[in-house]
Amino acid sequence: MKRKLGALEKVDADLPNLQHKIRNDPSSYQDDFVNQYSQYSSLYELFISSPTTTDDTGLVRLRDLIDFVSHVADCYPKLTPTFANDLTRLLELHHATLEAELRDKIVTSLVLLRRKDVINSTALLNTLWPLLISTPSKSLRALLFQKILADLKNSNTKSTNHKLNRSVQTTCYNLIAADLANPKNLWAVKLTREMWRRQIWSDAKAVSIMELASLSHDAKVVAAGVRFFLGGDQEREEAAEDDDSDHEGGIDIRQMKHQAGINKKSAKREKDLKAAAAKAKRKQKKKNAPSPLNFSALHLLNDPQGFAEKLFGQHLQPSQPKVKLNLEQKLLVLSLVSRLVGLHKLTLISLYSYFIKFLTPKQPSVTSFLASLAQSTHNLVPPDVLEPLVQKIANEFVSEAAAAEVASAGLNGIREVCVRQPLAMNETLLQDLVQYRKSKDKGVQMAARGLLNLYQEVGAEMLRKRDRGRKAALKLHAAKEGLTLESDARRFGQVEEGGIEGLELLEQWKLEQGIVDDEETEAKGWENWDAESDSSESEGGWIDVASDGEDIDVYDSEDEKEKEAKKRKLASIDDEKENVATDAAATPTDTASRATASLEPEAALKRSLLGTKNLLTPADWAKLEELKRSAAVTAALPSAKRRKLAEQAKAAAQARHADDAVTAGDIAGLAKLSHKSTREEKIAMAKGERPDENGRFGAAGNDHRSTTARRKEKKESEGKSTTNKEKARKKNFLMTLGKAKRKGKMSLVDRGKVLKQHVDRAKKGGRRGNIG
Amino acid sequence: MGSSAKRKKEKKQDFQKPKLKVGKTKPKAANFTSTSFKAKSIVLTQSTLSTTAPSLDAQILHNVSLLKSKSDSQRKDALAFITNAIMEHRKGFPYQVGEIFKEACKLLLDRSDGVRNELLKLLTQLPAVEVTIHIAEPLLRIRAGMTSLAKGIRFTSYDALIWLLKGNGEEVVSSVGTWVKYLQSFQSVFAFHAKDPAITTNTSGWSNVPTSVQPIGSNDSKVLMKQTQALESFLRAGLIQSGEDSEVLAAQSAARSFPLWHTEYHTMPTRSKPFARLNLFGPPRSAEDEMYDDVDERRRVFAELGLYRTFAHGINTLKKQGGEVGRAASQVEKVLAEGMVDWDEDKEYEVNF
Repeated sequence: MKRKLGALEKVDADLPNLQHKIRNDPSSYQDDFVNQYSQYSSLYELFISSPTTTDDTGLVRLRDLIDFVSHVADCYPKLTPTFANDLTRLLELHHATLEAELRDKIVTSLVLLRRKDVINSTALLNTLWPLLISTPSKSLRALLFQKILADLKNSNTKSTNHKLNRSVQTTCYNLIAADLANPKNLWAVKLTREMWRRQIWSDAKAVSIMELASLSHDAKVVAAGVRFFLGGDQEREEAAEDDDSDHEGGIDIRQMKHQAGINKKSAKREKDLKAAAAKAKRKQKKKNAPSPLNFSALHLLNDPQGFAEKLFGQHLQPSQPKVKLNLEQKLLVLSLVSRLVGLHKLTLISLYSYFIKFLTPKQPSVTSFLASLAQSTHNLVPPDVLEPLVQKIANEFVSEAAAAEVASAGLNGIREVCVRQPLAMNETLLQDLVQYRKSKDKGVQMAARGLLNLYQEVGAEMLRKRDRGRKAALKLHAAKEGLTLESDARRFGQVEEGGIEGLELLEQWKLEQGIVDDEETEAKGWENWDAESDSSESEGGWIDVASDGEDIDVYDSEDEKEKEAKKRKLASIDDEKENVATDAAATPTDTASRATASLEPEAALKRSLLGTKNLLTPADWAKLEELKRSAAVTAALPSAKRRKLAEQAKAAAQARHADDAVTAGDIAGLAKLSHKSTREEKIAMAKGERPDENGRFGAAGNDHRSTTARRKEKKESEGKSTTNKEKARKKNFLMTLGKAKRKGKMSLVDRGKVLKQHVDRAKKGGRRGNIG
Repeated sequence: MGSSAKRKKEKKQDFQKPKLKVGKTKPKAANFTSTSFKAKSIVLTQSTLSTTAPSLDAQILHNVSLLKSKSDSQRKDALAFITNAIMEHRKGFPYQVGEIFKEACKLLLDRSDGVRNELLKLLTQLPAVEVTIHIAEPLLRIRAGMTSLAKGIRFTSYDALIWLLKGNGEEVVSSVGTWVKYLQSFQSVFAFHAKDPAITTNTSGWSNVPTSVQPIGSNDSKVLMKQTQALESFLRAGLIQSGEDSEVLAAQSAARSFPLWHTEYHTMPTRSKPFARLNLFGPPRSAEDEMYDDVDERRRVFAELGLYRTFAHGINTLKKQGGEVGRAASQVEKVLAEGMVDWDEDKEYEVNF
């Protein structure tokens, strides 16, 4: 005891030292703490009695003492019951006039008390959040926001703290709901967005905050809310990826092992290495773990139709809206509305007529409008609403007189609309537009070709005969003959039915094997499965729900014709079955060879009826899997591969994910081809200069510099100087002379030695060897 | 070859002499270092130059403002100047002494020893009557200083307290929140421990060494001595009735200003925060914060909070140390005995706050 006090005497006025000692042995230093605490309380009283006139020394002393007490308060909970309350009161009453450093210290002390569990998160956030809204100081706001975020993050690390999250979300919601025109609402939006990005909040409540923000009456808040819906999910994914890559970059285990081999060995280093290895392993494990499934904000909306209507009705439609948005913000809102309409297939008829006045080439950022239009189109939009829009685009953009960029953008826009609703196009216009594939300009040409390709797929009969292409023509022909069930002429509202992948392969195989689906074979198919399953199903056996005879017929005058065709087709299939059955019995080898060769074309033309008549037995499924595998092998053969690749690429281009947005870049993409670069631009590209503000040249992948220049840049970016090759090339000529002369004079034995050394070195992998 | 030619050129450049031209500034040398700098403010050592000496009034005003100066010596000099001025011009001092006291007391916690010593000198020169009205704030500062880690500040605080008690004893002990809080501060600096388990925190574990009487600076008898003296005068002021009863005093003053009635209520108040007792705007006070302006009340609180017993026990132990401190402690004991003479010690007082 005496020794300890003696040590303390030496360092006189050293609070950090006392703090350290208290941490180690709280009960022995209680008296010292009481002294300091009473000093703190008198200074606190002094400050409270005259908050504005307290002098510098007093403030500094108070700051130091607050720091000290907050660090050790958890050791003496009985002595410091009011400490946190004092700080909160100080902050609440005097935050506007407090000296900045003291104010920040109080905030950090409160956070420290939270970390030491002296106060709980709710109390802390209830103190900090109102301050964030009310304080005029920018630096304090930044500090508070950071602390609030950190605290929320910390309280959610081990497990999600639902109670806290809900209370903070409610606070955010209420802030916005209380006064929609308040610009301070931005903080609620900011917090929500940040929490969303970190995947701490990923529920509908957070989305509802943003929904409310998007409908608020302040332009900045509206823009922030809308931006969240448009980019929040992407941001979240990026953040998650960043996290992963960060962890990878954290420890280079190979490097550490290598260094452990070189450096002096010590117990500490060995321990470090082990810890690093364990950490890396943990990271690896975490990386391989399945990522949590997160719903996109757009899918978590409670009432998308209502939201879209309100957004449109509040910000876009009225001529005198409550909030004055500029063009950029308007475009954001429009983009969100159209995204919602496209994604949820909403019906918002007035939206389409809204587009009309913006679809002229003179309109600023018209490509964004085109993209929004395309986005808001889906197969449930009435074609007669879209038709005038397509017509207008065609009239305004696509003509011989229009600039190539304009025409290609227009064609592209039309194509994007028609991908989603092919019925929006009429025959004359289509045939007219397709003519542009003969244009001299590359961009226009490609855009027109895109449109042509699209209609070859979805509406070949609208094209002129010679434009239809071989495949589409064949299909049409088959339809006319009544060979296929589907007619390509789709009607409004028609929905494609789902199917089982590879089912036609199974049907084909059954046909070829001569297996008839009757009760007996089916029972056989179930046999093994029943043995294996642990089923508690009913024992009564399986009942055929749809047997051959019991077709439910719905009479419809329009369907009559189709039905006829169907019946005829069924009959033909039955005939075929019989024929094949006899053939198969006679020549089994022949069928085997046919099995692979015949699969594709026929399968493509027919729609399988197999799954609709009987339940597939487990045996059928197993066979299906096998057939799919063998078909994959066939498809991997070189000749088939190329065809498949081409088809895949096309499918990928057409069937983009429904969640993905159409951007202005997609519309204007081909216009870049129409642009001819000037001499200056070409020179700049060759020099590898960055593009100017217009982004005219030298796009990221468009590097026109020489290979050497690029390599050199790469080396420099890696922090290296020159390659050995470059050194050799630059070597002074005179220096090489001597060696050349000497080489010439070398004796045969010496030459042999040199060659042998060279071979050895090559084997070893260079002078230093290949070990490192 | 390319690079070597380049190097040659570079090398040649090193040895070329710069050409000097008439009317042009001399070119800077290659190793020239700029010594210019930017400053927010430039401090001139001699800030006022005047042929006529400023008036005393102005000088004092200036020096009072210098009390806030950043430099230690400047503060010290200002204090010294004011002290001299007061000593020289006892009659007709042109400045409010109370104001000076208020400003100067901000230096009670000053980090420089010289400044604090100078401050003590100034304090001894101030008339006690003039400062009465301003003592609330210095009292807080003194209490903060009493428990400071720095020995010098503690020393100054005790000195200042003793000085204050000498002139304004009654005022000090009866102002808001002073009596109990000061006693508690004394208790903690002397490390007198109550037997009350509520205050001792952690009783589990072997490290809980009974810290009987080992106050801060126990090996420094000088501070302990000063501490004990301060305690003695504090207790004396608080527990022992000074002069006559307040009623008698009131009667006397009334007799002095006979034809007038209740004059003191119509003049400037003589004590600091005259309406503090009413506590009009603050939160409700606890037992610690309450003001006790009657001797009996103070005695009661002293006993009821268990402080009397703690102090008596602590002082008794301190007395046993002997020497100077022991003698001072016996003085305290005497005061205690005198102050609490009619108090029933055996009666058990339990007060929960």
